[in-house]
Amino acid sequence: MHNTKKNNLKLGFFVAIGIVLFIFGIYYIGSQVNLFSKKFQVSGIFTDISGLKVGNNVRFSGINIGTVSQVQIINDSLVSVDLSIQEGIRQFIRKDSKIEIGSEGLMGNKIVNIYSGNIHTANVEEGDILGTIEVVKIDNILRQLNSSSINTVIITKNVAEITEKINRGEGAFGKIFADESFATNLSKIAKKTASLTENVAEITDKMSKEKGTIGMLLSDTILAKKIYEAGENLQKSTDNLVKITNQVNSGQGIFGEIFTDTTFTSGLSRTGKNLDYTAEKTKILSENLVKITDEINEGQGLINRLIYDTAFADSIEIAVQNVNKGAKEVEEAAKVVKRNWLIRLFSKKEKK
Amino acid sequence: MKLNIRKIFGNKVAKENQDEFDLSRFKNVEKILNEIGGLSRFTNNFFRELFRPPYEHTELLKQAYTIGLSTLPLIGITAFIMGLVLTLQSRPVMAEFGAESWLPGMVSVSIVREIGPVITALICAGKIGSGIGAELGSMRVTEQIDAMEVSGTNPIKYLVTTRVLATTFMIPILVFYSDAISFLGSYIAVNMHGFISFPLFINQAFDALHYNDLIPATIKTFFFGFAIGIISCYKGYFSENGTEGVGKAANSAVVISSLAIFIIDLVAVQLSEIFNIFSF
Repeated sequence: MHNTKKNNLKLGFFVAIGIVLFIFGIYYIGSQVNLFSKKFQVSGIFTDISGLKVGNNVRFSGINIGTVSQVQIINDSLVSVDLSIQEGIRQFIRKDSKIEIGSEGLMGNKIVNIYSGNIHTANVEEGDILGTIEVVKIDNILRQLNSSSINTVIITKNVAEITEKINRGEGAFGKIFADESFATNLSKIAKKTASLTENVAEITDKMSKEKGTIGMLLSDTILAKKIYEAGENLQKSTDNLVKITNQVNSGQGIFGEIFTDTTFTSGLSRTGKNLDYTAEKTKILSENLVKITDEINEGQGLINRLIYDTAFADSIEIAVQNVNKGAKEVEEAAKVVKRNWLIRLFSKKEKK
Repeated sequence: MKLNIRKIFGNKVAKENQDEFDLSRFKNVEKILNEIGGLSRFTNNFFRELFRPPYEHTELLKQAYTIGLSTLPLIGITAFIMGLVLTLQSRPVMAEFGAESWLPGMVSVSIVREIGPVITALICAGKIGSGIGAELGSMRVTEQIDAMEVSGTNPIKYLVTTRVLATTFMIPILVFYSDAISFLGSYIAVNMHGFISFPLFINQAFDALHYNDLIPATIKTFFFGFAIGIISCYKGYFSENGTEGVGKAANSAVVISSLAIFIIDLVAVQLSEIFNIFSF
């Protein structure tokens, strides 16, 4: 009797653990498909669901948040997919969230991905229809791969032709590989480049050690300040220039009139013509002056005699003295005349 | 069995054949049909006695203990090795595809859907079926069953109902144990060639499982248990020809039970495919 009781206890323990294992399995599988959590429904409408089935996972940011609860054909071109999602995730899914059918790797099951929408948009509600992103079809990818492979064939063919030409020494690259003089030139260029880089290195070294103008530019803050001020002044100058040119464009000032006033420019044109005429006349005058001076130099004419002939000059001087003398006499005679009463009479009448 | 063809088709036909039509070539068919008929009647008796009081609780618990708990070590060792070997054998192929991370999922689906229930049922058919067949056969041969009938004890109720019920309910529980221990074996096998934490292993294993894997597999184990119990009891209950018959009964109990397990498995797979009601 005691043994039977013991056996029954063992049996009870055995059965209980067995049932617990079964319940654990049921619960664990159920929790994987969110069977025991509160859920809400949203839908999406696709033209092609690529083999999506009821029970496939729904993911949000890579986390399983629900399952596909129903798939039904609406009409000849649209399929509705209902998603059962955990209630706790509702706060992250917006009304403008998008859903897309994806795949768990190349051989994996189909899944539905939900992409979060704008943060300022309201949260999704029970039964909402979310926007969808159409599935990238494997057929399309394969088609593109096919065209890519065709292009690859063409490219490899071209590369083969190019390498063949290079082997034959044709073209620039062919010369590189076949022409020895080209190689020596290249070697020289390389040497020069090396020396050039050495120089550049030296310069940069000096610059880094704050030597030279550029070094000072890079390191001397006062100089930099001055350059900055110079730049500012330049800026001001250019601003002023801009103002001036604006004034000129708007016809203000003399230059403005020059560039804008047509009457002024026509006057200028006339002045220019007159200047031309004057210049011509001046030219003729200067030519005549040259002739005259030449004649004077050659001893021709009255002026030459005035300059060079001293006797003539003396006689002229005497003549001038005589003229002065005569003029004084005339002056005195005039004074006498003025004092004459008859003439004064007439002059008073005139005054009156 | 020889049948006189004249009695059936008359003299004319017999003259044309100049021979008696020998139906002995259909002996096996007849035997099978007889077995099926007898088993059906026996099953009918079982259900008739099942709901008719008094109920043999004590005997039922004793049989449950014998069938369930005493079989657990054998099932445990077999399940552990099964999980271990299945994982080790699958790993190279999965590694070739770079899909070693799918091993827990693949092994869990294999174990829960098919290997766990079928292997457990086959082991039980071997151990329990032969035991019941031999026990009831020896009781029949030694006329203990006849004595029970004479003494007013219903042998169907006392011997058959208790054993069939015990196998029907104990084998599913043994399958749960078997699945769990197989997972453990698989976990160890996965860790032989790499490292995976136990929580991750369990997550991956259950991630691949759905109710349409677990529920049909569980339901069919009840049928496995029932088939093992009823066939073993039937073979033992109707054993003949002395001690030789006892051996035959034990043997045929195992063979027919095993065959029945595969047939039930086939039907269960087809039905679960057709009525895919647990696809969530």
